[in-house]
Amino acid sequence: MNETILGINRRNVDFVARLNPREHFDLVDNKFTTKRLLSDHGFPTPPLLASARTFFQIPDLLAELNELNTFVIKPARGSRGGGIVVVTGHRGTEWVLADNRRWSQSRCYDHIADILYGVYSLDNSTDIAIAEHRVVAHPALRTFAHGGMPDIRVIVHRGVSICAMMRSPTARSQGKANLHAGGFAVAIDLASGRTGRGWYRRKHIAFHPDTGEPLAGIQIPGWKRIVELCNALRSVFPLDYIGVDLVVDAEAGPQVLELNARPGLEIQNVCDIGLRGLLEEPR
Amino acid sequence: MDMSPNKLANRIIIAGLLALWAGITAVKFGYLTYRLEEIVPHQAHEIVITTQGQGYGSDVSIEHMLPVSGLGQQVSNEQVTGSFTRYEIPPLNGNRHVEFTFAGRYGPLHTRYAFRVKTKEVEYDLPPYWTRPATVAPRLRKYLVGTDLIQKGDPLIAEVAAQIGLEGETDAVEIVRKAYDYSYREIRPAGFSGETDAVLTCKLGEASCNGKSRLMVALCRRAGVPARLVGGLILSGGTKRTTHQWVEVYIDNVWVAFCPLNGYFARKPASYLACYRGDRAYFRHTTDINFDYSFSVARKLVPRHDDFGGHKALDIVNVWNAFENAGIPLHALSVVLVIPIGALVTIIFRNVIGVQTFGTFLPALIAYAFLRTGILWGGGIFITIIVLGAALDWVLSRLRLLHTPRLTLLMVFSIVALLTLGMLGIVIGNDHVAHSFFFPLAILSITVERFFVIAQERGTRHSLSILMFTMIVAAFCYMVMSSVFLQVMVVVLPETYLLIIACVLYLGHWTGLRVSEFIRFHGLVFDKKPRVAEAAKR
Repeated sequence: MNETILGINRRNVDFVARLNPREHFDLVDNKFTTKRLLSDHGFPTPPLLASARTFFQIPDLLAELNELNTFVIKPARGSRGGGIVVVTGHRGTEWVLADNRRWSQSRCYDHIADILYGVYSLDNSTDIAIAEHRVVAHPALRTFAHGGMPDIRVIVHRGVSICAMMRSPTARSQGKANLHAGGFAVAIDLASGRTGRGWYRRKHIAFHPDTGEPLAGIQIPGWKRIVELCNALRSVFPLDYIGVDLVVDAEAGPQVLELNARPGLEIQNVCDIGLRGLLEEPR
Repeated sequence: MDMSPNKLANRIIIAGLLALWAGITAVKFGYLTYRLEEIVPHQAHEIVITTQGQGYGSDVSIEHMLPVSGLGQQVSNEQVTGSFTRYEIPPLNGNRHVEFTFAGRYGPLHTRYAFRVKTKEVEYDLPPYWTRPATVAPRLRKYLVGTDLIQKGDPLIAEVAAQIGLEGETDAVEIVRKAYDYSYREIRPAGFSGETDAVLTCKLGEASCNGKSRLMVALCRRAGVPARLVGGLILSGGTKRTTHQWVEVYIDNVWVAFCPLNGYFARKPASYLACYRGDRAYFRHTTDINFDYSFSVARKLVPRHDDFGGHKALDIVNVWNAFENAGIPLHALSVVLVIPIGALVTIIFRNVIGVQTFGTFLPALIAYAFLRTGILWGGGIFITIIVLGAALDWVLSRLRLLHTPRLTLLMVFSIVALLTLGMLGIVIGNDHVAHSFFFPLAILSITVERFFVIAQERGTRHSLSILMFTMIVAAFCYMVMSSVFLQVMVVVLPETYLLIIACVLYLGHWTGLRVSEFIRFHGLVFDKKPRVAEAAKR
């Protein structure tokens, strides 16, 4: 039996509880705080455009956003990508979403109100709605950008990147780059930054499930910079076992989106490797 | 991996708890000479006899029989309530009964007589033979006479007696065996109620308890062995309107019990409660009062007041008696005290097996609710309310309401659903459905809320599968928590909690792969390639 597989129990007891002090969880659970810390310390992150904390701020937020052409709305304490809306333009007073749906002003109001009520928040407590700059996928990654934005997940242990994958949306996942929402992922070779095999619906794949393009051997732009950024986060966030989510913008290059203090374990299936073997190796 | 300090501390605490438990157990069972069979509380029954009637202004009287303590049964905690003017319990022919009087009353009349009874099985050792005496003591003569219903002189009874070889038989044991065999085996059991006499029983060849018993008594009396009918109740849970009759025969100066319907020979099972001797009705009442009655029987654990003389230092029974005196019955206490065992079951399902459930302790709390409502009815009602709620939620989602108002409407719905089901249960007379209102609203509301939040975030299918697993885990919790043995363990030996805490602490640092993760990572778990070395090179 392969002893290197990391299970939820061991992750929680030996890694999350021991390496990530609970009082610092809010630094990463709240995207508003994460974003501020990142930009304060010079880490590239999509700029914050506007935010709302209370209901009477919603009309102001809507007015500000109506001036902007394209942006992303997120709950600050969201989980599993819930509540994220990508707006690509306007048609009259309506917002045009990335999936071509159209939202009236009152529909937009309701969505932001839902975010503030905590519908999408981790523990269903009240939340902050944030609007940030919309990232455009780097052309080198177009294979992975059909119908949405691919993101990179790196597991960082005591300031060292140990494992990485890229998550990509599919027709099935409706724009979300989440594996449980029906997206797929590809392993990334840490040393070179090249993609490897894919993992989709609990099986390894070599070709894109929608387009049939080959997935392996694609170089991620700015890979050295990505690893440097991940390893340097420890100086700002006192957490020693984290999952870092990044995107590569066509113009601005690598951007840190968010950090996760309880990173998922599915990366083991994607990269075909047990995390315990990597974590317990003295380095 | 070397052991971290907190893990080591955890192990030391666990070892300490186990040692403490072993020490207390050793002291109790060694030094204080506790014996498990002395500590275990009795299984007792709480019985309520209710009668109802309608008053039209004239005096009304209602009488019913009462059980007495005797061989194999001990009656206590009798309580009489009702709308009567007065009641009286006079002695009568060795039997006991209560007379309720309603003076010039209009409208509904009711009486309620509650008591607790501990019963045990009585087995009689019959002598190999016992020649019936030629003359019978005067006090026993009435147990040899024929009556309108026990027609010992009837030609048909004479024919049966001759056929089974009672004529000329003087061994009372043989007589009773033949009379029992004939009434038990040759007469088919019948479900009908109502009075069947000995002759009619022979003619029909089938009868219920009273016909079979009268026939057996008639045959015994004909052969010169004193015999009588016994009336009483069968102690099975629930509410019912049926009484039971069986037989007692006087052999070797002892009244020995026989049941020619259910086949008990010289034996009174623990489920039989004798209430009176003789051939009479359980109830007597003034006519034309729209009379109705019912018996309800519930099982209860009760402490052994009497059996505890010693163990003053650690007399746990006194503690439970103190609770009883404060109006907290031992049964209610034991049901609460097993909740941590249910929580332990939940931990095993969540952390060792890897099953997702709503809330951490919800399965154990749902199981606690099932202890009151019963798991089949409780579970059915529970799932019904949640599925109906899901349908309502679909409608509400069309209205695009904000989250909290939407949840509030669902709460209102679950209260109305419980009320409706409770009313429905009362109307159709199904107590299980009526008792659904006992389902703790907090537990129901929390589950409904969790269901909708998860349905909204991750889809209805996902939420339904978690609901299914929650019910499965709750069913396991119920099985464990309803175990009388475990209830007794935590109630009588509270140090059992030390074992539970030790298990929870152990599981709190248990870092093995969950069963579900063997499935999730099956491609990797059973892979023998040496990946670690390969990875280290990077």
